[in-house]
Amino acid sequence: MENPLDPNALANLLDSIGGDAEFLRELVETFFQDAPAQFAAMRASLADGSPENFRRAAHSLKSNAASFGARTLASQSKQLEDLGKTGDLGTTAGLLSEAEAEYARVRSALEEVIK
Amino acid sequence: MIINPEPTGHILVVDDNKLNRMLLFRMLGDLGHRVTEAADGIEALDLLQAPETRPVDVVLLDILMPELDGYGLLEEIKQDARLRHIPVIMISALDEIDSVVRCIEIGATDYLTKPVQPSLLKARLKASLAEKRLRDLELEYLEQVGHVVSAAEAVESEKYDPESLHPVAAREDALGRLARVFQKMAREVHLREQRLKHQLSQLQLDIQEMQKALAEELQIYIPMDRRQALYHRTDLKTRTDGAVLFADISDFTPMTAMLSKEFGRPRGAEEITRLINQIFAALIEEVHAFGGSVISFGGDAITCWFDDQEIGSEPARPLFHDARLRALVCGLYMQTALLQFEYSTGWIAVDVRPSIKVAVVSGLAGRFLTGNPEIQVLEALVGRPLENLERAEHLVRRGEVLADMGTCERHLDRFTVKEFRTDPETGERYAVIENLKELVPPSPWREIPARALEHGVCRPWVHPTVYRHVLSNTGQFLSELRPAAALFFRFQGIDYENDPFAETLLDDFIRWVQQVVHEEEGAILQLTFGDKGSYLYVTFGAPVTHDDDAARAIRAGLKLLDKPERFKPIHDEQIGISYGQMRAGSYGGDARRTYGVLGNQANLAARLMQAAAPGEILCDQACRDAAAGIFEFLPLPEIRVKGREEPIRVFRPAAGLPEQHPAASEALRLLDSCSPGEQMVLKLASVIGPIFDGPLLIAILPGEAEKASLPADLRSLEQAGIIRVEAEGMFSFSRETVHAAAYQSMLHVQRRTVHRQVATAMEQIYAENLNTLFPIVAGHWQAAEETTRAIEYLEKAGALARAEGDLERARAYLERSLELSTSSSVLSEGYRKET
Repeated sequence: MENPLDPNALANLLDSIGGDAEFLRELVETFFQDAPAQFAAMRASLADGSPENFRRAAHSLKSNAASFGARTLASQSKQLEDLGKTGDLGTTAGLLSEAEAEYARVRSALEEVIK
Repeated sequence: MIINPEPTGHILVVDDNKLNRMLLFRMLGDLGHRVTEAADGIEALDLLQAPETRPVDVVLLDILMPELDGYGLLEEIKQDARLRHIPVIMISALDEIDSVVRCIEIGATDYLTKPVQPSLLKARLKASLAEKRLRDLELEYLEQVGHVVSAAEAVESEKYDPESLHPVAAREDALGRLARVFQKMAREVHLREQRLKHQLSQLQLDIQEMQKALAEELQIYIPMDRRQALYHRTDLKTRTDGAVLFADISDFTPMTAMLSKEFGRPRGAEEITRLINQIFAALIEEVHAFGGSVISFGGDAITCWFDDQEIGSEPARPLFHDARLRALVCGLYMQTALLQFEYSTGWIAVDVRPSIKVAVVSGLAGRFLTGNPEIQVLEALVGRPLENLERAEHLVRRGEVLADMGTCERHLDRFTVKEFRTDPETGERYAVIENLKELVPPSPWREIPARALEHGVCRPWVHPTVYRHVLSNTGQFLSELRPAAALFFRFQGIDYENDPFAETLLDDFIRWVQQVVHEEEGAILQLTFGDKGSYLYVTFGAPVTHDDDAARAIRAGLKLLDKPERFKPIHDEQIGISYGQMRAGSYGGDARRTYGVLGNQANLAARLMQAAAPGEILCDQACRDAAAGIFEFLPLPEIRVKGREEPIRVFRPAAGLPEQHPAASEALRLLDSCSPGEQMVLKLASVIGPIFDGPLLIAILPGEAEKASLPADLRSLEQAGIIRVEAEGMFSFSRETVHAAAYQSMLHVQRRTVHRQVATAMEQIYAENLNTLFPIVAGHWQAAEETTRAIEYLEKAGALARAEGDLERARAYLERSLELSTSSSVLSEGYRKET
């Protein structure tokens, strides 16, 4: 199965923090804390139909995913963000589920990285 | 931590995404920056605006945030004057480039894309920080220039606060130096002012003490009854019944001639003054013993007033007898005193037998105060008794006491009447009285306690120049021979008996005359009222001599004949002017005194006044000669006057001739007639002064050739009558007009330069005895516009004058230096306020 993480991007990230593995762990853990909250926010938005919260959660997820080189997750998040911008959340449920599945893969891969 | 040579700053990271903030915090920290985080726009704005926040150098700003987003915050920052110069770098995703463009339009400096590359972050920050730093420097510089500018403005508005420049003065650049110099100047000026003020306040105390002592001297110049009224803080009645006593020292002129012959002229003058003062002292003693007051001195005569008015709540003198009797008895005692009089020269026994004539008349008289108190208050004793007095004066002979019947009729049984005399003109009867049959007790004035009369109360009774020149030598009867012009001015037209406004009219008129006289720097010495009108004796040249006193007198005389419309009731003005050596000084005794200018020339002026037709001025030959260059004169037929054996030549000055300009153009013509070398000598000399010395002149001559030709130039100038030799190496301008013309012919900058040269040369040439020249050197420095040096010398002059006991002069110097100090700069106002 394809690696959900872009090794180059990850290397860049580590480089930009001076190769500090411990700090990378902190970053990853922060990601692990934030991402479920972002998904939860998107789900909640779907329920009460507030596109702005949806979009912002997607935006943050996108940004964080990109930081770790989780390209697929980032790309899915961008699509979600764009949909959030249109305000039409009706078509996003499937994509959101796909993103959640991708996040699970990213998470496993990152757990490997920081092990 | 990376050791980073690059500039670092305080970076504010604004991002709602915690992971992004962590990353940026870490990266920025690694670059050596100090980082503050904000999770949204509101928090960021609060931070930026909070006064306790350390100033932020760069803002890293995410666009998409809850609450206030990136745009909103950016707009807030750009609208805030204190924040708008902070560079803002937008952090955006690659797909947000449109948003970035919008941000740049709003005012963002730059942008970075996520994920942020450390190298790009570093580069962008470096650029932004450099920009910020430049901007900060610029702002700081502008702000501090602003401080200096406002300090300068504060100085102008006298609100300078020395603290205000401390931050600017701490700079190392030119602006800092400017601020430091500015502060130093202000400090020095302030200290100088403090010093001068301190000296002045010390001096003020000394002066107060001196003035108290001086008031004792001054009050002697005030008639006794007025003195008592001043002491009791009350006024004398302006119309009061009483007796006038006139005592005239007879044959004074021959006595004067004898003493002059005996002692030589200057010593003779001194002896005459000594003699007259001894006689006056004896007479005044009697007047005061009988409760009378000496109202005025007229040459060798005194006019006294006796009345019965109470002064203050306590009796000022016991009134055992009415004023008429007291005056008559006083007259007899005066004669007795004169018989016992022994003239003591202390040198040679000179047989001087002075005698006096005493005339007493009585009635209702006016006691008016006239004149501008800023110049001098003049006592006016006016009314019918004074008119009668003049006739009585003609009837009385030496050694006699003569009184009109109104005065002595009721008291005739107390005296022996030597004879009755009738005035052939009026038929009025007078009695010559002798031998007091029964003792009449004296009515002495109550003593005024020492220092009870204040200086300010007494000062107006003494003319300012007399005050300065005579009273600075307290207690001394200065008498000196000096050239002066005497002007006698008689006028008619004030009805003192019947006109209720006589006092106002007289006061108004006297003030006008005083002003005219004051403009020519003369002084009214005497005010006399008689049956042939009222007359004033005015002197020009005493106590201060000018080289054109005769011309000043004539100019004043011409102005007096051209009176303003409001004085229409006044008519038949006659003026006599003479010029020559006169005896100037204080006359009288320790109990009553006046400043007088006496001499044959003064008598002559009075005679000329009598001889003048209404509206005419008559001058003697000496006056004409002294003012010949300035006025044209019409020679008149010789006239005979009383007291002169030979007829004298008289002249009438031509009115309305422009007097100043011909003299000035004449001076210029004289100047033009000189060689260029001589002209230069005159110009340089004019800067030194009306009197100048050779060594100083040599020192300021520009070249060797000029120096070499100086002796020849001076000789030829002397031969041309332009300068005079005063002493070895000492010269003077023959005429003030030439001196003035030479001085005026130079440009301002030239004069300034030469004054500086003179000051410097004086410092070198007269280094040994410079202290006598302090005021002169100060004057040159001031004219050279070197205020600090001028102040320095004025201060020294002040200290010296103080040491010599001349406190008024010391104060004048100090006040002048303080004036210079404050006028040259008000820099120290701030310091002044602090202290």
